[in-house]
Amino acid sequence: MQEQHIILNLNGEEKMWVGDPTTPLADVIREHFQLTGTKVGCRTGECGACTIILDGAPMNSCILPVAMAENSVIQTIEGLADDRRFQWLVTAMAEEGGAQCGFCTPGIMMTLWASSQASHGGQHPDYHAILKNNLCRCTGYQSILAAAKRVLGREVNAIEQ
Amino acid sequence: MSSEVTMASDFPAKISGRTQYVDDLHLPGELYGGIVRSPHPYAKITRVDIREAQQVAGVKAVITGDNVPHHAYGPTVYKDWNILACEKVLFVGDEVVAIAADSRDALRQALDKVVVEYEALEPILNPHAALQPGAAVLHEAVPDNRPVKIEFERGDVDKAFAQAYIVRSGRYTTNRIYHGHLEPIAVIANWDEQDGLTLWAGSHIPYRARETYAAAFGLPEEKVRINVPPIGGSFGAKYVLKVHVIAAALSMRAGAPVRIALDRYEDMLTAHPRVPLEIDIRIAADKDGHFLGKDVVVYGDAGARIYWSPNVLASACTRADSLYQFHNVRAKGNLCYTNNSPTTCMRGFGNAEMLFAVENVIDEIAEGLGMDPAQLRLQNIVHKGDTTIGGYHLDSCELEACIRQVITLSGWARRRDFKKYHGLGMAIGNHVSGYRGIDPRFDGSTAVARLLASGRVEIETGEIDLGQGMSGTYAHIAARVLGIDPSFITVQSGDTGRYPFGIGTLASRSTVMGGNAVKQACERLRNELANWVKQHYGPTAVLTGGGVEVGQEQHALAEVARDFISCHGGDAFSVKETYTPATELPDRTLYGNPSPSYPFAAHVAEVEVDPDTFRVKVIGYWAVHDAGMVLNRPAATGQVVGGVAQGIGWVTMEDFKVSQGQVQNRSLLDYRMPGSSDVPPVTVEFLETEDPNGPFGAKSVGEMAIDPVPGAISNAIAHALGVRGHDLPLAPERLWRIMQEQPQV
Amino acid sequence: MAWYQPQELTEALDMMATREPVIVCGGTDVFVNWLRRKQQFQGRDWLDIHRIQSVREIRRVEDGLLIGAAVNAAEIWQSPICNAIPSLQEAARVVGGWQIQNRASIAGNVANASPAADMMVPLFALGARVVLQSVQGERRIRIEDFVLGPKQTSILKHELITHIHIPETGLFAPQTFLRLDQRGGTDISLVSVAVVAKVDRQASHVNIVVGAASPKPFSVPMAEEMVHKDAASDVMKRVAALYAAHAAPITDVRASADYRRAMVGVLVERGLGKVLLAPQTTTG
Ligand SMILES: Cc1cc2nc3c(=O)[nH]c(=O)nc-3n(C[C@H](O)[C@H](O)[C@H](O)COP(=O)(O)OP(=O)(O)OC[C@H]3O[C@@H](n4cnc5c(N)ncnc54)[C@H](O)[C@@H]3O)c2cc1C
Ligand code: FES
Ligand code: FES
Repeated sequence: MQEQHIILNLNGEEKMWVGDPTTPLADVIREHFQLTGTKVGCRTGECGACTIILDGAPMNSCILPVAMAENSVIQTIEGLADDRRFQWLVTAMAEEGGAQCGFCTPGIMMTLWASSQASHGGQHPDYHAILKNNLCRCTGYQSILAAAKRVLGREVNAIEQ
Repeated sequence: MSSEVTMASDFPAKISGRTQYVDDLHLPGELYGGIVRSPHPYAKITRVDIREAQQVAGVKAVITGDNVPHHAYGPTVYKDWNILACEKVLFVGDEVVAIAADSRDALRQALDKVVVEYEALEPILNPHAALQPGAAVLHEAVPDNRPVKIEFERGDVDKAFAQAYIVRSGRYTTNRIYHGHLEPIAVIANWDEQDGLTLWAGSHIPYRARETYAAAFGLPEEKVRINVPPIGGSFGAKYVLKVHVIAAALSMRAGAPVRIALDRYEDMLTAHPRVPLEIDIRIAADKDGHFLGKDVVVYGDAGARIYWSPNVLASACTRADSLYQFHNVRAKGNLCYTNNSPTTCMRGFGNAEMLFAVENVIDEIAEGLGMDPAQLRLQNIVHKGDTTIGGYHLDSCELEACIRQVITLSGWARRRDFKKYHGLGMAIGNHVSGYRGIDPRFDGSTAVARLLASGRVEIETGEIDLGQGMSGTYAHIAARVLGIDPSFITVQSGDTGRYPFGIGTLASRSTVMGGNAVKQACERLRNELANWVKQHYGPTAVLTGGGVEVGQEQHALAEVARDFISCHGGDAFSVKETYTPATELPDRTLYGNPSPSYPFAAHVAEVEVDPDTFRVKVIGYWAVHDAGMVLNRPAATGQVVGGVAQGIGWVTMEDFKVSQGQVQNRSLLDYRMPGSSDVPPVTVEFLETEDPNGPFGAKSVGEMAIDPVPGAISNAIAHALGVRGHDLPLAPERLWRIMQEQPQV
Repeated sequence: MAWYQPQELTEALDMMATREPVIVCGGTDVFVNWLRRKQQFQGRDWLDIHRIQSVREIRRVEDGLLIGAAVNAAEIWQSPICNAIPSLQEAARVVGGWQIQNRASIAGNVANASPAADMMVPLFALGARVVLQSVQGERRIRIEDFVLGPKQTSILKHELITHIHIPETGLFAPQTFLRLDQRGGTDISLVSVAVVAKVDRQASHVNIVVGAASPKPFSVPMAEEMVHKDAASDVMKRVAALYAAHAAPITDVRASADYRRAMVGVLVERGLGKVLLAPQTTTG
């Protein structure tokens, strides 16, 4: 396998990675850059545990070859730690009991955060559509939806006005 | 938010992605391990050639059945496990060769280069085939392929049925359900001549795992240590696993740490699903709707080896007898070896399966008598103070109140006016809070409470937090005893080398067993500390939540802790207490009082069925629980909603499709678990009364959450369609087929 | 092997002519379960076209709409221009979930030629043409001639899809896409249907295309002709029955052929009902 040099913009820093360009981005960020907040639950794009944000849009990093991410802005959950809206989500999820085993949680946080960056025209977004690509086996989603509503719904609009 | 939230201290870490699961951990010099598995359900191994695999650059160890020990071992009393197969493979996925290599690519290449030749044998694919005369014997110790046979009769069942006004019966089947833990199974094993074997493995019964793995290698138990990192979901999947043993064997051979992390495909192919049961059931009642008797015959498919299927069969045969007053009960249970992947327990543990059958038959009796099914239940249930026909002592029981409350909450009376394709169904359930039969030697729990120099209190337990809120509950209990804030408590567990022995988290035991131990330890800590402060600061010293008061003088807890430590040779003040419940080991007929307390619940589901596609949508759900006093409400509520969601998946969509012993739908697309829009808003209520045997009156919640769900949803579907499905799942195609077979009007 | 990510189409076409690379748009088909599948692609070069601006655009052209090959599902359902073809938007909205939609391209959906592909179905009903280019030049081919069967297309060795062309007739026509799946999470169609009504001066004609119930999406011209603007419900039932009879579904882990066939009828009838009974969309 021919190695390729790939420059990644990861959480605001330029990083160099050398290896097989088809390596899933999930493995590169978890194993090479040791950012293990991104989880791998299926490797088939179905569970959403590996969700990262690429140029502002959430994507499954397990089916994203690292070479495709070159020249894009990559954000992992570690890169959001200081973000204000991310912190609101953390608080809301903790208070609502939105995590049990926690394995799906980082992926869900990424999806919800991405949604909080999007404009929903002052409306509650369609939470089910947003979360369709994220599976959670523990919570039954109710607590996650409650947290999402608190942060993404009227509250965000109110805070921003 | 309400202030009563006990924030589990691991929440922020989990939510921000800082929690590290097994596959997030790394040891220096670790190797990737992988397994060559049988593609046949049953076959003779005629040749194994590993020479080419050994030549692959980067391969550090290749092992076969010829170079691993062969001790009789297994996690239960049935010692039918091996480490790697030698002569025969018994199911698709059975392990034949294992390899450790220094990269993923080298591992994959080497796995592909292993040559195994088989002579396929005629597989046994269901329990009835296993019992056929002349069927192949899968394990020599069990010549009839039936490792477990249960048979009991209490009262006179034939007489009861002879006197019955109405009898309803049927054959119900429950299916293979995948636990669906979001974190696939993974382990890191490290062998060291000095320290022995250390595993980092998600096991919520690590002490049983330790005992089992020690037996596998003929090691003394103290030579095996299991570290349990946070577990990414289990529901029964992550007890004691062959993958752990194989990683250990590889590490011994390679002399380096070995990681085996299954991907989803392998996790599903080799999964040990819910034990599929075939249940023949009949229930008799008099003309006023008083039950007279219940008679069940159950066949369970254990697969090729024993995991926890015997316990599943036992609960299926017995538990419902302590929910209703059937007066005369008989059960025959048969657990059979087959050439399917071994099956095991999953949340609900056989009880949810049997209740699916029982609750459907009860609805049929109600229909037959023209009675309201809720009313029929009310007049036959058990009550506080009863000793049930199965021997359970019900020291607390709010079941009747649960039913009445769920009737109100769900608007049960609407049921009469529903149009076709719209249904409302009820089911009830009971469970245990720990089960004596899980380990006849000991069924209690031990906790250590320690006052640290910082003034914080550390609790050590042998039980395991699975995200069900155990740590938060223990912190709450400790805080309440000690009169301090829960945020000053740290709960530690998950290392068999450091923390006290524990049976582990199964049979819904953590709240009551572990909780009682924590309570006892904290009480002793408080009492002994109160005595010591009098000795140390003078007879007027009083221990309060925040520290010690001597007249006007205040000593903060941290100061007291330090004073204590300096008077005791540098050791923190620490006490250890064991809670041993006053339970009874069930006898040969499974009679006895196996648990300190029994939770109850009543559920109602509302469904809409698409009249053409027969896709079922659960549009409303109400769950009223008697879990004793609720110590950690967000966690308890989360358990119920999560259990309901799993039940929705089970009844309406989930099914491992197995053909010739092989799972066909090995992906999360084709094995459908519910997404967020499949779960309706679930209303959860707890009717709180104190159970005398629980810590601060608490009982369990975890499994109770799912027990009534299959019954409630399937009853709702039957109400919607006017026809009853007997085989799970009641997925669209099955319902469509049932309706096709109905005579057209 | 190497990964190429050209910015210009000409570069990509040159590469196609010389190297036979694997084309990648979003990668949501190619890279599923990659560690288990990568052996199959050993030694291949990769041509990642998602940074070529000209294949990322959606444009109104004289004779219809031109959708760039690398336009993804999320862009389609969010694109105001695509409001002219709601059936495709509805299909784009159900492909996978949000994360998948942010990558899944229209060309990938068509080129992959899975019988269960969703976006392909309204494209058939809209009479779409696949625009292919190679160093030799461009050709346009009707989508039903492009897709031959499961995973089979009539693409030539050095060609790549640059655009999907939607002819004028489908724009703002009454139309819908429906699919039958089995859960609210990501799922694959058991059966899908796209219905596009063409309303012109002489007559009204309806295209009805069914997906996932045959090796490739199919229509039954004889049945389509039975439909007219004020078709009564019994006509719709007959049309639905004809479609069910003409379906050639398979039995697999997702559903049996019987059930799929019956559901073809159900979806066709519902799709027709939705398009014919709904108030007519205005042109714009
Ligand atoms: C979890 C999950 C859920 C999914 N759900 C759905 C669903 O509901 N409905 C559905 O229809 N699909 C679904 N898919 C499949 C997939 O997302 C879509 O088919 C998608 O449109 C493929 O586009 P892509 O750009 O990602 O394809 P790629 O993976 O990039 O390519 C797919 C194939 O097309 C070829 N190709 C790509 N671009 C071109 C081109 N310009 N010219 C010639 N050949 C080309 C590639 O070489 C490859 O063979 C799902 C996939 C996943 C992982
Ligand atoms: S690991 Fe990527 S979607 Fe599951
Ligand atoms: S919290 Fe366990 S899977 Fe979501």
